[in-house]
Amino acid sequence: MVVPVFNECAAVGKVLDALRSRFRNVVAVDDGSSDASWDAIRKTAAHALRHAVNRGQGAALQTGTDFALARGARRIAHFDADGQHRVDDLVAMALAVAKGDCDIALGDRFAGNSRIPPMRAALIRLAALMHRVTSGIGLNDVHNGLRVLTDEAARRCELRSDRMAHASELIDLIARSGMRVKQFPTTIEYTAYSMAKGQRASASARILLHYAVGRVFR
Amino acid sequence: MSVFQVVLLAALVATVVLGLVMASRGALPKILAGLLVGGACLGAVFVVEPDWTTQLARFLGIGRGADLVLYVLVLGTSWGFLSMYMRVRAVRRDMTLLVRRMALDEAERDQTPRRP
Repeated sequence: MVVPVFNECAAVGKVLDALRSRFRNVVAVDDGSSDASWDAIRKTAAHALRHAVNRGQGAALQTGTDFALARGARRIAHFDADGQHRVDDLVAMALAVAKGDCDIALGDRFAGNSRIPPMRAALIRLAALMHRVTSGIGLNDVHNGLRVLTDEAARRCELRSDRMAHASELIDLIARSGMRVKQFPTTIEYTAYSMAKGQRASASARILLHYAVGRVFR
Repeated sequence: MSVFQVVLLAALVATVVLGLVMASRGALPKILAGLLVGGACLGAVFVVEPDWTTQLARFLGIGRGADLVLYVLVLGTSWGFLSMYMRVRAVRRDMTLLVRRMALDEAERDQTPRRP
């Protein structure tokens, strides 16, 4: 389990403990947080990695993935640090990948019981439509932070988008690699905390720009 | 010669000197220094003889000398911005790889004593 952490000291301890109760190997990557996140991570039983300088979520995920692969991990999962995901959803996805049902499991918040804010839902639908056109891959929820990949898939999908455009980049990589993708219903807890910490709608324009630039100059 | 011309000329001469000094110290790549000095010399010529830009512009099918200067400026700065942006991107990429390497090395150090 790779958990990217940036200024999440209030939530990250609980999230990591919940993950540790179900999974043996949890890797937390502190992405140059300026709060007490690093200390919070060190108190848990998770492997603690730290970026000296903030490099973005995509970069943190790739760092954690490199660490896990180097230690012989067979499957890699992404899990957000703010407590928006449910561990049970991840267990179901990890089991499916372990059984060989698919190479990559992606969370789909539209299939779960999430109470998605309408603006957020519209933006994600729009992003999904864009990916349908540009990569020909039909997914519902293209920017869900909950994912499980086989080690082979993780090796093939090296994230070069350091910031938030990595989710879109991953979709392209999946489409090109021809690996088997499956979507799983996930419930996202939209709490006041996760909404305040999460991406604002205006960020989507910036993500789109980073993604477009990344596609042109790889 | 007007005051304006004197000031501009002084600035351009300073640019030429700066370019030559930096190139001789190896602080500036030869090609860039050549571009800088050449551009400044050309600019100096046009400051002294403003009518020449108009003649050149006519020759190129552009109405006024000022328009020609504007077009060249726009193209030059666009190119400058783009190349600067590409360089920043490359630096950011290198920085990410460096930060990642550091994080992995630090984790390695942390864990070796605890789990031999």
